[in-house]
Formats: sequence, C-alpha cells, structure tokens
Amino acid sequence: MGSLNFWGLLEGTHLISLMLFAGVMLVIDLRLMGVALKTIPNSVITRRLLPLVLGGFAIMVITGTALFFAKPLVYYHNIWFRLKLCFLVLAGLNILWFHLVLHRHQDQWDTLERPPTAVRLSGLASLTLWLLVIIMGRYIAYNWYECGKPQTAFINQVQACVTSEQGAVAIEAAHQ
Amino acid sequence: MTLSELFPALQPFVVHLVKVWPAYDIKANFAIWEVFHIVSVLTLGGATALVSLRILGVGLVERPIEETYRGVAQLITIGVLATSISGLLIGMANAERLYNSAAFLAKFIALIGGVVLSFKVLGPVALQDRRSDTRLWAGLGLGLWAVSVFVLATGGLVTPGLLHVLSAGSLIVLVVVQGRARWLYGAGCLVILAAMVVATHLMFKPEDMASIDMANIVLSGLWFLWVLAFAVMRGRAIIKDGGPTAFAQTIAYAQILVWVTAAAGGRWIAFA
Repeated sequence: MGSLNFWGLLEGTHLISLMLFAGVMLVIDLRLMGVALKTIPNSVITRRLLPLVLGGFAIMVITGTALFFAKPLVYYHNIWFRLKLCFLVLAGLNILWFHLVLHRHQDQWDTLERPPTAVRLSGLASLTLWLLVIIMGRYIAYNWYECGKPQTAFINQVQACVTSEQGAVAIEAAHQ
Repeated sequence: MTLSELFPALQPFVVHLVKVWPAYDIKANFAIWEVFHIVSVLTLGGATALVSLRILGVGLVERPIEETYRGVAQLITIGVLATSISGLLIGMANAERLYNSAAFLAKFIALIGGVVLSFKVLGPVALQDRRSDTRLWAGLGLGLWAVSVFVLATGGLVTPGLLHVLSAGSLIVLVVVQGRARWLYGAGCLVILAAMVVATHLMFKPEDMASIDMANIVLSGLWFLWVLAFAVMRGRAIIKDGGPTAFAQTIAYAQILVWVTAAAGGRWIAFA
C-alpha cells in the first residue's frame, strides 16, 4: 500500500464507517424488536435511516475491499475472515427474508409498539449476525490459528492451509 | 504529549496495575473485552448520531427532535456506561503501553468530553430544556474535545489519526447540505483530496518528509475551512427556517465528532 500511514487511515475509516453502519442498523433492529423508538412507525425509520445505513455500508465495503487486497492470501487462509463472510451471507439472507416475506405485510404491523414474533425474530437475527460479523472482523487481527503453526486437522482443513504459502503443520507432528 | 510526560511519578503505579485484579484476568481474555468495547462504541455512536443528525435536519425529520432523543436516551446511557467501563478495564490490562501513548491521552480526554456532552448537554438541547448550566457543561465538553484534538494534532506519529475526524466531519456536512450546494461541496472535497494525493505521491520524493508534512497540513487546513464554510452556510439556512439554534447545531456536530476522535485515538494506539 502506497504510503506510510495509508493502512492506518484505511483501517480507521473502515472502523468508523462501521460505527455509522452498525450503530444505525442496531437502532433499526431494536425498533423491529420493539425495544427502541417504539412510538415511531417502522416505515418512517427504514425510509429515513436506510440511506445512512447504505452510505456507511458502501464506505465499509470500499475500505474493506482495499484492506483485503493489501494481504489477500493472509485473509484467504484466515478462519475468522471465512467465518465473517459466512455471517455476511447469512445477514444478507435475513434481509432477503425480511423484504420478500415480512415487508409485504408491513401495513399490518407498521405502527405496533411490539411487532409480530416473526418480525422481532428477524430483527434479533439481524442484530446477532451483524455483531458476529464485527466480532469475526476484529478477531482477524489475532494469529492464533495462522497456517504454518501447529494446528488441529480441523483448523488446517477449514483454512485450506495445505494450499497456503506456510503450508499445514499438524499439531500431533509438532508434539513428536 | 503522553500521560507519562504529564505524570511521571505515576510510573510505578501504572507498571503494577497489570498485576491487580481484574487486569490480569482481562489480559488473558483481551480479545473478548476489546470486542465488547467496540460494540459499546457502536451502540453509543449510532444512538448519538441519530439525535445529532436529527438536530441538523437529517434522518427522522418527520418526527420531533424530542421524540428521537427519548427513543434512544436509554441506549445512550447504556453506551456511555459500557464504553467507559470496558475502556477502563482494557486500559488497566494494557496500562504501561497506554501510559506512554499520545493517542491514548487524546482518546481518554475525548472520552471524558463525550461523556459530558452526552449526559449533560445533548439531552437538554434535544428537549429544548433551557437549563442555566447547560452552556457551562457544553463549554467543558467542547473544551475537553478541543484539548483531545490538540493532543492528537501534536502527537507526532499519531497525528494522521486526525484525518478521521476531518473526514467524518466532511461526511456529516455532505449529508446535511442540500441541493446543488451538496454537489459543489462534494466536488470541492474531492479536489482537495486529489491535491493531497498528487502532493504526497507525485510532487515530492518519499524521503522529503518535511515537504510532504507541510503539504498535508496546508491541504488539511484548506479542507477544514471548506467543510466549516458549508456547515455555517447550511446552519444559517436551518436557523432561517426556524430550526435549531447555532448552539444546538454546534453541539450536534461536536457530539458525533467527539466520539469519532475517541475512536480514532483508540485505533491509533495500535499504530504508533
């Protein structure tokens, strides 16, 4: 990456855009769960706050992609990165479920302080999945399961360590 | 400026801190506590951003500011408490490093300023409660934020962290400014950013750090003035339309940026 501080600026921007994206998303999810902003209809919340969420998400994806291309092979063989992508896909599926199924009947629960169970579950799933995405993202920095270090067969398999530059080292072999 | 320079006599206490409970337990599970801290900051950032942006005419504009504030007031309280407690605990587990870090000092001062603004100022401003002490608390909160920015700006290797505060401020103004002014404003920001890239990558050689630093400082100053000019212009229009006062708008910007300063300081602890 081109300059002395570019990595730091990119990673910091990724984290701060996360603050906007996840912070506002959290409030939307809590409203769906009937916990926060209960007097404001869900339609008003999503219409007014979704642009902020999407803006934060766009910056996050741009900076996240740039960070990935700084060390693509390290991330590719990182279990936390792989889990982060899995949870991202699940979060996307939850959004699809919400928009294709629950959103169709929004006029029936739009103003309810406590929306129906399915809606509250979708909010809870969204909240949990985005938190997991964030947690996995933070754990990427820790090298406990780095390929090339002695790892269990399961970790070596999940990270595809055999194809990594450092290769796969079985924990049993290290103990012998 | 670091805590070790300000309070050198505290060195033995700080070194010993990691041996005190709960610091050694937290150090063993540092990653989990760090995640808890980040999630607390997200909660706080999201909740305060919603109220602040509403004051600036963005977000839940169909509803009164008071309703938005009341809807997230509990989240702000939870966020402030969780951020402060988790921050102190992970700080204890890493005390010696933080004691010598200018980024941490900036974060710590911003954190206190943020707590003051969140607990004593944002509420009265959002609820239009004209308490006599609100301006005093606002002065304290804004003053602490200014000191944290000064520490970050004069902290040597951590100074680039200030660009996060500037870029966050410019993004807030981008969503606050409306109509054709937004395009003009966005284009101006892009021109300044392009000038930064040209100056630091093409105009000067990488080893000529003095010239690169000067170019960054001049262009960051220009960027700040550009952002400020549009914030003031939009602020006047909001007041003219009968919206929140200049004081309320200042608090709204500061409330978001003080937490961005704390987050930027926190991130740059790891870099320098």
